[in-house]
Amino acid sequence: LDVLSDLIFRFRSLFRRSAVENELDDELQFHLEQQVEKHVRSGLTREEAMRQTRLEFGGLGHVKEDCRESRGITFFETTARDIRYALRQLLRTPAFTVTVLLTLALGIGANAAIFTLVNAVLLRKLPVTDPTSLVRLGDNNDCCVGSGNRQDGDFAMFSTDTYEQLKKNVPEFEELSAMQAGFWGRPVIARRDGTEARARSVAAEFVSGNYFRTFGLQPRAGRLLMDADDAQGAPVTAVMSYEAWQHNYAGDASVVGSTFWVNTKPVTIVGIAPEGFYGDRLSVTPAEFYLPIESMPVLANSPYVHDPEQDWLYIVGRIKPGVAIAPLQEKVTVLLRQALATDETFSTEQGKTLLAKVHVVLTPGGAGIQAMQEWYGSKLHLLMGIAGLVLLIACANVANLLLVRGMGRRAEISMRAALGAMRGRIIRQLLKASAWRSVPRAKV
Amino acid sequence: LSSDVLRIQQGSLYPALHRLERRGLIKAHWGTSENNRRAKYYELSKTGRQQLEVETDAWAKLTAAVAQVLGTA
Repeated sequence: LDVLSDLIFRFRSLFRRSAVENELDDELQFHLEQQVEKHVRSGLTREEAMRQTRLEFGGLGHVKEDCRESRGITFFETTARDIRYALRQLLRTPAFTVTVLLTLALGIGANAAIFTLVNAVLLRKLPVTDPTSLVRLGDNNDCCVGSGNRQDGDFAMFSTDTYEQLKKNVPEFEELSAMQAGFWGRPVIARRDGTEARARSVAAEFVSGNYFRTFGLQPRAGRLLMDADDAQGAPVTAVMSYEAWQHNYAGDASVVGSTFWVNTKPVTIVGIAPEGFYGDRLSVTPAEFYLPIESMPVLANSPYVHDPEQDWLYIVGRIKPGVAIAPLQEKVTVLLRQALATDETFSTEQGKTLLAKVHVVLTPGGAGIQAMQEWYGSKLHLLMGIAGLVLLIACANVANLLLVRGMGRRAEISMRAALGAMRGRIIRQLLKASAWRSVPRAKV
Repeated sequence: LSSDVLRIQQGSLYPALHRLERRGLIKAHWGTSENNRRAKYYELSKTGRQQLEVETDAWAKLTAAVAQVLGTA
């Protein structure tokens, strides 16, 4: 009940201010009149009675201010007043306000833009199901078939053979999928059957049949690749990316099921990948077609697909719940060494010492193959740092401007102090003025 | 009331009254005085009465204790 009455009292003081003020005036006036009457009755002249009353009562303004303070809303009141004052000040010096706003807007705008970029490139995860349980085999961005083996034995690229063996022998993975490491360097020529459209050179990525299943994706239309598509001798099928479908065929539903000529071989489009899936890695040229690995010898005439000595695949897997990474990494490394041991490269004396160094580092796969992130990462961080500096400089400029203006206001402030303004009140007012300046800034 | 031992300016009464009103210890209402003026009347509320007893008690204890200390000193 006490709390309630207190609240009612405060609300009334806050929102019915003039009524409360009038009541205060009435109340004090009544008191003063009563006192004057009393003194007059006791024989003083009216003038002397009024003087006496005022003496006894104390400063009227002071009493009123104390009464206002006892309402418990002084904070809100002075805040509101200070804010109005600050706004008036800002409007009075539009050039100054605009300069400050622009300076800071520039600094903040640059930061926001860079952060958006960084966020898109470095921080975003793939639009896939449960990205945290995705694991990539390998921690470097070695690319492209025939690039040879690293001397430190840190593996990230594997042969089809190794992939098959790992898939068979590591049950800790719910799914283990493989994808072409360097697809962006090997575009295909594609043309839709039965149209006059010119053949185009587009990016296509060769992936294992369980690729989409591993990422937990649902088709936008038709179906996604299945294991049956990725079998030797199977009719060649492909999944088109949502972007390509929208841009080149305006989302035409008849694309699904139609035939395309890819490198002069017929390929059936079985479905459209989901919207927002730009592939397993950030790329300037995302794949427009996803083709099964087994179709690669047919379409691209690549001899290395079934060459156990040729590493050309990245591997991303989804681990079963509760599987620990460290022992899994050990196991994969051991299996990899076994798989490589029969290779000619690792049979030589030199090869054997290298084989002992061969290892795989498991890395989070939720953001896909991080090649581009890492290539651009350091540069983007630098850019972010520079943008931060720009903001800092902007702030320094504004601080200087404020300082100069503060000097100009010295006279005003000492005048106010002389007139009895409390120190704290003046400081609060100045702080609020700068706080207000930051509001439009924050909006920018 | 205090036989002029305590001299407090009369104006100080009002902030105190308003504080008490806010805390719900006294109730106020507007009425008419004997010379037909609008006047504000204050009276103790129920919680105010209880609070008064508590405080009076505490005051009595304190002054008694102080008196005892001074008396024995």
